[in-house]
Amino acid sequence: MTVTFILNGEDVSVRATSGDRLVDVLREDFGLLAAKADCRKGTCGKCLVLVDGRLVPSCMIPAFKIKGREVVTMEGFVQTIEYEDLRKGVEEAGLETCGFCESGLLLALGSLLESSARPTREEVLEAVSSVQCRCTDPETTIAAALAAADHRGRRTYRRGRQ
Amino acid sequence: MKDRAAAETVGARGLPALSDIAVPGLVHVAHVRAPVAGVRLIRVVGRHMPRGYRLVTAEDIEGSKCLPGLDVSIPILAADSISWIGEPVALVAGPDPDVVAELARLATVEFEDAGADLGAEGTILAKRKLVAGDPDAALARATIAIDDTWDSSILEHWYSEPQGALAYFDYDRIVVRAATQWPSHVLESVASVLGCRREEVRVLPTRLGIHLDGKIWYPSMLAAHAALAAKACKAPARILLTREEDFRFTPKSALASISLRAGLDDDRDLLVLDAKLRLDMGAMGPFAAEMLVEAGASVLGAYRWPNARVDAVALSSNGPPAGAFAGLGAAGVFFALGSMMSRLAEAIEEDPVSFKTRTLLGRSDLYASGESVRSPIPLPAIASRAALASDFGRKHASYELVRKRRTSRTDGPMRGIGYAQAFEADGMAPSTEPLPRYSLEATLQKDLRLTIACHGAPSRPGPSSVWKDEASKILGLPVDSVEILGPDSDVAPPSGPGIRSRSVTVSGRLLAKACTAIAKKRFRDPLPILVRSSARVDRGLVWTEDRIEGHPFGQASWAGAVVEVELDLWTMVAKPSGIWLCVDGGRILSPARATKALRAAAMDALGATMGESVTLADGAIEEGSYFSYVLQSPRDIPRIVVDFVDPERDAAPRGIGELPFHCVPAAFLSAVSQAAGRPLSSLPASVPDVLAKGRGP
Repeated sequence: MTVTFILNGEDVSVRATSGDRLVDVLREDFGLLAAKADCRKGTCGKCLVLVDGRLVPSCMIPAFKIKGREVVTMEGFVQTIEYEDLRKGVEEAGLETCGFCESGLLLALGSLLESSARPTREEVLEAVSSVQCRCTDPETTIAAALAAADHRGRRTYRRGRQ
Repeated sequence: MKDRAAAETVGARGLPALSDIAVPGLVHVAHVRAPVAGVRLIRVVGRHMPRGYRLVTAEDIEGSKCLPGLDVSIPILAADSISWIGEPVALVAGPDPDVVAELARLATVEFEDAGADLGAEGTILAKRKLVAGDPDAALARATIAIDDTWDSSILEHWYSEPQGALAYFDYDRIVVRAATQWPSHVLESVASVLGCRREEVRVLPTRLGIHLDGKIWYPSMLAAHAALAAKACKAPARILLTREEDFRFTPKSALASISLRAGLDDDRDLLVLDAKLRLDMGAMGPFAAEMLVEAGASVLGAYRWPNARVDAVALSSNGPPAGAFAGLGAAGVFFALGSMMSRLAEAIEEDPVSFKTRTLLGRSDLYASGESVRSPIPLPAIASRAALASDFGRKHASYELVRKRRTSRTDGPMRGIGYAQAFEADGMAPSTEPLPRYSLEATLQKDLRLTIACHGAPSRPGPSSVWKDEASKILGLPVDSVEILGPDSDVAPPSGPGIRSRSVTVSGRLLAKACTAIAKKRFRDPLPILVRSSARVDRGLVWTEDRIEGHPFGQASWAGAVVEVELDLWTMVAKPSGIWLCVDGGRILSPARATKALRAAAMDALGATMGESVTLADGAIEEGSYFSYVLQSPRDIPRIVVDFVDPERDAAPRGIGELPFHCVPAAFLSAVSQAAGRPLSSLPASVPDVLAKGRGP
């Protein structure tokens, strides 16, 4: 079947079988490699993407279910102004990942900042708990999220003043 | 023909992940695995292979049928006997991954019962014995004694990316890509299995990520499989295990059982230690001897034992092969020693920190090998800083009082605090001969760019920036002009395995040595200047079956950990409320990065202590345990305070990555034991299990 959806702001179509999962379509048909197909049971968080603004494990989503939906991957997220806030926060805190979980971790933090302007420590830990990896240190992740929230707050405040 | 110009650099994104590399015309490879163990293989019968699909068995191997350079024989594909359930017996390769998986599933493995002669189970792979003084007489006269057995469970490495390899032909050479800690061994293995010259193989490692020393030799086997499939199909071939396959069939930590009998004399000083160590290495135990030496030395710790006996044995079983897991077996032993020392302190009602520091080896004391320690052990300073930061003395005394006054389980909070100390040795003698050589090449180019090529080079941008900073500092070059080349076998000189933080301890020193040599030649010799520096691992402690010399402390790093816990009154599940880690690792190249690495390792160590474990059923990892194995969640991690002892001093940097695995579990176990009021002696530490066995409060 042909599935039409919005991928990182563009209308796209892809031929998919009933067994194809979103992560495979993204990686194999569109060459978007940030989401990793790791556990394939929806728990490791390395394949997280935003579908209609909600964070979902793309290894658990049948490709046909995204018909008409909006999908944002890490490759699309890095083009946004919100990512810029997060990037600054990550740099300031010195957050470094192994590279495999980075997409899931940053999308989880981006999604958190979308819903909470000033997240608490617990909220940050809750958000990043959806990503299973041995590489990240929770304190640095919290520092990155809080610094990103500061940048976002300053930016939206300035925009409000203008 | 070697292609030095095409070497990848460790740039802003690091090396690529294996799963991200796209190659046109790729064939996928799946394993046909043994359904039983301890049998003789008759043959593998594949279903009719569609066009473009191939079944590869051991009979198709033209070169060597075993991995080279290891102290045990590991077949590339099982040929005669099957040692463990899940052992690869054949490969299926073809263009569609789903068809390949189905064909592998449908292949039949025919076998016959071999009787007792193939029972690998219980074979002694290595043994080490040590006797100092008269342990039997000392045990007889000990006034206070502890006698117990500590058990650790099997742990999964849970790498950043599952194990895999990619192989393709590039004109007259075969190129292999794999995430490996030992690229030279991948090269040797592929050349040996294909029966070709080393120059005909090129190894381009991919990003390693977090591996916890689980990618030492296994990637060489998968690389050999990919190379065999590429040759059979005349197409690029990739084998990439699914996470579940990786979980069930790749190396795990060795199962350790440690029986300790320790006694104190009338002056409450250490009198004797009698230790029996059993490491279950699974079906194959490469590095068994090295792990046994590491475990044997760890069980003695840095304590003054006038009488000691260590009887250490590494045994094979029909389980999956055992891996090094963060410290080559030391972690599974340090928790027993640390926990036992806490119990001795409790028996004489002495503060554990005070007991554990006053019983340390002094400068003039002799190690169990008969050699003096010479340089002072820095643990007293570490213990004092960790105790001060955590308010250990006050908390330990008050939790002890609360525990003694408690009349029922619901009578007030059940809290505990524990302290443990350990070292991370680098000077052990590897089990392979000759000792592995580590090399690094640095070239100052005509345009004043410095290129560094080394197999131990970091594959991620963060750690590689530490190398760049160090090189630019020595040579006075801008950081941007320093390039770290990927560990490509065409440019990096052959090296030993990158285990035990050797990218810091060995490769870091080679980098400094090479840059210093370039600095001396810089204004004297014409550019480009190429310097190759090499070193072998120092033999700090030599412990063979018939002799023991030296001691493991020469290049050791040290740490002390305090862990505080509170038990849930109803579930009796322990929740850590704070971790304090104090580390002496020589000069710390990047304190911020080292702090983050230690915190992440402490989190993993806590995971291993609290719940991560794999169970074996009839020699195989239970199918369902993959679904229940969950890494420690950041939500359950308390604040981890990291402190370094004099990180700026002029001393060689040392490996520190495994220290949390060596001391956090013992500190946690001691804390839980104090809170529960009963000794715990197994990992993961579970108070409900102790209660169920009738040993609880």
